[in-house]
Amino acid sequence: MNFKTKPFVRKAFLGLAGALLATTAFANPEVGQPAPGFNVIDTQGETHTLEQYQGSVVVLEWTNHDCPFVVKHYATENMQSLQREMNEQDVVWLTVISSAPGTQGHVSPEQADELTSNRNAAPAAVLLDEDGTMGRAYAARVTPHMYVIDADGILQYAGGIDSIPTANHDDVARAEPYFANAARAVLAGETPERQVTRPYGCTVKYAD
Amino acid sequence: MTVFQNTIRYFVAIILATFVMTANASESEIVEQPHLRAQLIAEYSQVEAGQTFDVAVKLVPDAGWHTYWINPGDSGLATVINWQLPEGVSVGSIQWPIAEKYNIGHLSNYGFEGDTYLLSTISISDSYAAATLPITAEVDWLVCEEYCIPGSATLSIELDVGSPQRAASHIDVFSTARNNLPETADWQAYFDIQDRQVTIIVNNEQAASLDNGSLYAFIGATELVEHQPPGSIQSTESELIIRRDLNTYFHDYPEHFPLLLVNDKRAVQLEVHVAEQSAASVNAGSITSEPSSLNLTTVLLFALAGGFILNLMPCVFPVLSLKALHLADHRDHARRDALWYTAGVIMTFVLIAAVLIALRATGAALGWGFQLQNPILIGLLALLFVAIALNLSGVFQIGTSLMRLGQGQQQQSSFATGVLAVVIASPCTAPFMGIALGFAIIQPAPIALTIFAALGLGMALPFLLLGFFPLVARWLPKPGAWMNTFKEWMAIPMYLTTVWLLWVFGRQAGIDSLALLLVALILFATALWTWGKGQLQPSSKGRQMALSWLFIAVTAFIFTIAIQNQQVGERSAPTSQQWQAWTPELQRELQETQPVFVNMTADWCITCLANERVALETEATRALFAEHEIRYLKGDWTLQDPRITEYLANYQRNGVPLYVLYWPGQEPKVLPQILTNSIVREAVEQAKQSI
Repeated sequence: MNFKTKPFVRKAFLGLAGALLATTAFANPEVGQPAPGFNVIDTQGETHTLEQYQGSVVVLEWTNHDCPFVVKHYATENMQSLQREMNEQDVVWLTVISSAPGTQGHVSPEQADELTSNRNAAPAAVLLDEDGTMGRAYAARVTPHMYVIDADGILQYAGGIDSIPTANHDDVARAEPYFANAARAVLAGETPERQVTRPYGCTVKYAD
Repeated sequence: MTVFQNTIRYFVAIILATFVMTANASESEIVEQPHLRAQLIAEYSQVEAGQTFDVAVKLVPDAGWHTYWINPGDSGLATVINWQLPEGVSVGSIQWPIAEKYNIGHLSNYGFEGDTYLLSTISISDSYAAATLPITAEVDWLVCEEYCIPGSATLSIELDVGSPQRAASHIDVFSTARNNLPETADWQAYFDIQDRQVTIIVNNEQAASLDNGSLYAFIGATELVEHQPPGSIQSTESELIIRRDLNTYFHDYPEHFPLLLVNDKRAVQLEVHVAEQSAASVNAGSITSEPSSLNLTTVLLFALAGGFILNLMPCVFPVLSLKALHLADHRDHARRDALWYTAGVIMTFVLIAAVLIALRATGAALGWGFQLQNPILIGLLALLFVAIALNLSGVFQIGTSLMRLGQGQQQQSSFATGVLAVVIASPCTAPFMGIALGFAIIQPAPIALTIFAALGLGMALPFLLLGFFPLVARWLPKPGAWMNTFKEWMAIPMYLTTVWLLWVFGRQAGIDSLALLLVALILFATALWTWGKGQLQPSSKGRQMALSWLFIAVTAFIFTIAIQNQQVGERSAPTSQQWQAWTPELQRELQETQPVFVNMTADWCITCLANERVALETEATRALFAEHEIRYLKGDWTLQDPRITEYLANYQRNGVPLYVLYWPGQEPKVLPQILTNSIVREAVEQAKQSI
């Protein structure tokens, strides 16, 4: 009986959800479910997809270098040290810029590379998502907005970088590092204690 | 402007802000920061110990820029004030002005544009002795247009301590500030989360009346609801129902949060609490299971004792004590009378139990006293009690003819007295016998019947003793003229019982029906009075009898109207009319032949209540159910009925709500946990088509 009722529930719920989502155009990703696919070029013109990283843990970091909340984590070297820690464990760290041309945080490929070297950052690649397709697929709302995807392509973490939602640099050391804890748990083969936290920061400047 | 230049600017501004000169003044310097000017202003220039007064942090962002509300929305940051106050001075939290919603693409923020006053109330203790009161506010904000700039300022004032003096130049500031505040209300409001939907119900007529099409509900909790989609707002006469999508980044249940309701006329802020099934309801749920651990002998003894005690109940005692005196008077038939009486009592108890068990089997959720849920029966009982009382008062006689009854009829009379005793005892047993009867009900039929028989035996016990041990009768006082006086006094508890019955009737049927019933009672009393006059005056007996029959006829007529009137009243309150209580037996029986809709609900389930208000107990769904002849069954899990728990488990649920549609010849269909009229309609039409 139950297995027969389920498809109905799902259908009815999807119908309802669909009606509700029609206005938002967001398909919100869910932790514990396969992460949304993407197909975006980086600053070198190379294409990156989620499928190609099957077998590796992937971290996504949405950024906007002029956003004070992003500045907080780069000026304190917090972001760079996390990138290095993850690199050592063969994590694929993808920094994503979804700012539309003409908005805050939008950069040319050259500027993006310059920012990486100036800030001594160490992402595997910086993806240029000018039209916001990837950002919308992940419902990325703010910068910095962090995601952890396990080696099987399952979304394991979505949310803020840490627990104190301010732009105050001193708060980095005081905060509970939600994202780092989650990434470390995934690398240890565990489910993170907190899989969803409050993403805080500046609104991602999407193209309308 | 480069990052570097910006940083220098903030730095300089912060340094300036920190070293602003403070004079004894009720307003601070205005601190200029990028895109925002900040100032601290006190309502009083001079304050005294023991006083409470307001201060305002005034934020003036550039045109088009905004700061944030307590819940900033998808991004942003609420303004934070850290106070530095001397010992003995305390400050309350920010009284947030009425927020606005800003949509940025698919995301939304809540905040304030233009001159923004953040009011806080400062309390000075009675023992504050210093000559001045220094107040410093460290304010952190995020000011945004399309992009955002964090800022902060340290704002200081110093007030003189003396007799309180308002700062004349700030009167306008504070009246403006207060005009921007929402009203605060203590309306009851609860929320819960089901199926990634947040449902809030505000139980208040005024709240419901805010729903005029322009209402927006600002949710004061971060990451509880999706901010951009407006969700739905619906209202009944006395409830406001808000439904919103659960936030993608929802992580923790808030215990309570502020809710700001804003329409084009009013802005009201209240506190919403998480709906939890109270500890009390869980405890109450265990009562039903506890007595089943009692052993049968104990229960039978309790029933026997309980039955005995019934004799002392105010509605039974007057009748029985007279019967006892009568028995004592006729020693020759005493044993036989006592046995017949006992038989009458036990038979009636067992009969009621049998009816109860039969009704239970068909699924009606009934307990002892179920007959008291029927207003027609209550009305008839009220008439009966008035008749008994008037008889006791001596208005008319019934005994005169009984005296002349033959032996066989004597036995019938004793039997009938037994029946009567149980009938008139029932209003008293309902409130007092709950648990033992509750136990009986959940037992297999033979045990339940035995328990009821024991109750009857207990009730008849005094008479058995009288009949078989005449010595007991010696303890009874000798008959005499006092008996009449005693009898007349005994009328008083009967009148009082009538009052109680009328109260119950009134609650069930409404004040109009109650008034009609009272008219019927007066006419009935008149009939009995004329009857009594006829008994006293044999010459005019025929006329008096005719008159009393006339009155009885009118009584019956009025009584019928009273009952019908009550049914009209019930129809206008559809929630009580439309559904039937769920039992597995009733469901199984009905679903064979016709469609059945099962709703598992609980009083503490906000989603359940909201669904009932907006999707089930609505005109549309009522018409839909009527059209397709769908029986609507409702199971109440408020006390965690184990049968419902089992039912939920069958659908792999451990909580309510659960909605299941049964269509003959089809698998049951589970509906979503969030319902609308159209979801119910679609489910029904789909089921119908797939026949």
